[in-house]
Amino acid sequence: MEFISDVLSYPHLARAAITAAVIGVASGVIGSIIILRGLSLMGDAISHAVMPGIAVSFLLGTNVLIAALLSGLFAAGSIGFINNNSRLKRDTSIGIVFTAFLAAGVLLWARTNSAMTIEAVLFGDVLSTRPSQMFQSIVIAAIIIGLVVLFYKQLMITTMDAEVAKAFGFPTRAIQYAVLIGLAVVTVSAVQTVGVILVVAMLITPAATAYLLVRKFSTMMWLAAFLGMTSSIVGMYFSYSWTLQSGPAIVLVAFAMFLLAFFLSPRQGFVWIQLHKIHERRQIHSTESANSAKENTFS
Amino acid sequence: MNPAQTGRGDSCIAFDQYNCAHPHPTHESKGHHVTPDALSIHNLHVSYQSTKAVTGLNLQAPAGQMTCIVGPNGSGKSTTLKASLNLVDHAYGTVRFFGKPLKKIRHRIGYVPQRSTTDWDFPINVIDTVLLGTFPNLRTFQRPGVEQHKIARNALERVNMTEFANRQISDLSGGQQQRVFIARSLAQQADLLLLDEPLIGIDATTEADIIGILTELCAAGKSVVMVHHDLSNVEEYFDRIVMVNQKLVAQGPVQDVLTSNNLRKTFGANLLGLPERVE
Repeated sequence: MEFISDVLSYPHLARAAITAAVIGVASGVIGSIIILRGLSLMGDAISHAVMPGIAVSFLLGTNVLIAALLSGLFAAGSIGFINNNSRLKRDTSIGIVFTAFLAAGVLLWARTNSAMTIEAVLFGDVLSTRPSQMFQSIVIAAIIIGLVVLFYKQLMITTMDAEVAKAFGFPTRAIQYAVLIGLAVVTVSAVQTVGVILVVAMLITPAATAYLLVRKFSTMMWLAAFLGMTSSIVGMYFSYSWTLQSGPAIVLVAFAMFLLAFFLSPRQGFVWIQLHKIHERRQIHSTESANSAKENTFS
Repeated sequence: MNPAQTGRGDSCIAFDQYNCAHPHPTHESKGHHVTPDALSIHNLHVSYQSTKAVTGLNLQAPAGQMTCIVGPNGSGKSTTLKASLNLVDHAYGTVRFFGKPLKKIRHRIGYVPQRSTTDWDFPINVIDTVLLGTFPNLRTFQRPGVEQHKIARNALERVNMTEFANRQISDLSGGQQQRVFIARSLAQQADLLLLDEPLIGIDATTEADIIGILTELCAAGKSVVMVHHDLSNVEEYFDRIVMVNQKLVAQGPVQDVLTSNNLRKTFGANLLGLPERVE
């Protein structure tokens, strides 16, 4: 395949493929935790809210990761503050905060005169990945996986039953903050591959696909990591072969996998459930018509 | 400064650790050593935003007994149980488990919350859920091993759910879910079990089985405190009753305390139609 030989011969393409794959793994792992904790919308909010941080870091020449992280966490904190101090529902607070952050980010970006286009920030530009960004992604993914393995027990019990976890003496609040920080870190690194707008797809789509296919938390995380990696690589392939933008290509591959699982998952697949329903209805019909036939002969 | 102060909570709950006086002085006054109550609550106050849920509540649950907490809706029964475990904000008062502050003895206290607090769609099967009960007794990075799996299997057998070990928790009925909860608390091997209305929405067989297991635990020296709603079987199930309506109305052995007078004070009516006593 031409794609593979090109990856081997062009270093920038290899860098892009490795970065995308590694980010796919990290977002699959953190995404599994996010969707089980009901934080999908929060992931969406944090990903949009990193935009002002990225712009400010370009303006001031500071580290992008830290600035974006602070901006994302500030948004998460604002959402919590509005939520706790008003009668608004959580999704409303989220909607208000993240759009404001995104709007501020777009306006700030106009002042940066950066070589990076706003389109690259919003939709990702994986082919321009620098070696330092690739190493940063690898380190982030390794730390995330290491922490998840180390604190698997704590993550599992606080996600499944926060009240019992608290009664058992687990530091539920600290774990929640750690998850939000992990989410923000992965989001910032994933902006490079799929951009601010589509990051949330990398977080929740492979994780949701895995959720439909397996029945154990740890298996779900590994499968989501694998699916995230696969969608990144396959998406890159389509993006390269057909000159498509990398972000949308990766996200649509992840979505195609989700559709397959949704319709054909062995246990929960839509197709099987419908077929089963039709089969049951037929059985009821046939017994009913048999009964009515009997009644007719007697009458 | 007394040693009890070291037990000060690490979260926002502010237990009054300065009050070290034993809240149940009758025991001390006997002049010889008596096992402290499994749970003793002294002067508990809890408020949600502007409304007061519990005001100055006192409660004693002796070790080795089945104690129930009853009261009308909104009387602070569940809140009292949660506050004793440091699960609610803005709670003030003194709580002692076997004479010790919660922090020192947490792993010996089991808790069965209302079923609605759990995410029943979480991808986990029955045996792994029961295994969660062994977590408080593991070190930070320790994973459950052979011994913990054995404890979990035994707990599951005790609630008659062995055949469901590999079933997903999302596929269980309400009664089966409650059995799994009980098994999880058994796997913790706690000395005191706190249960928040475990008999709501379950079938009669499960209810009888759960009461049977809890009675056996008490016979073996463990203690049970349960928030309960059904007054008709209090006499049959429990040794001791605590009647609350934001504060303590009455507590003691069921046959002494469950009277028409106390029912009227707690619920505003003699709900059981008990004979009126002249006091």
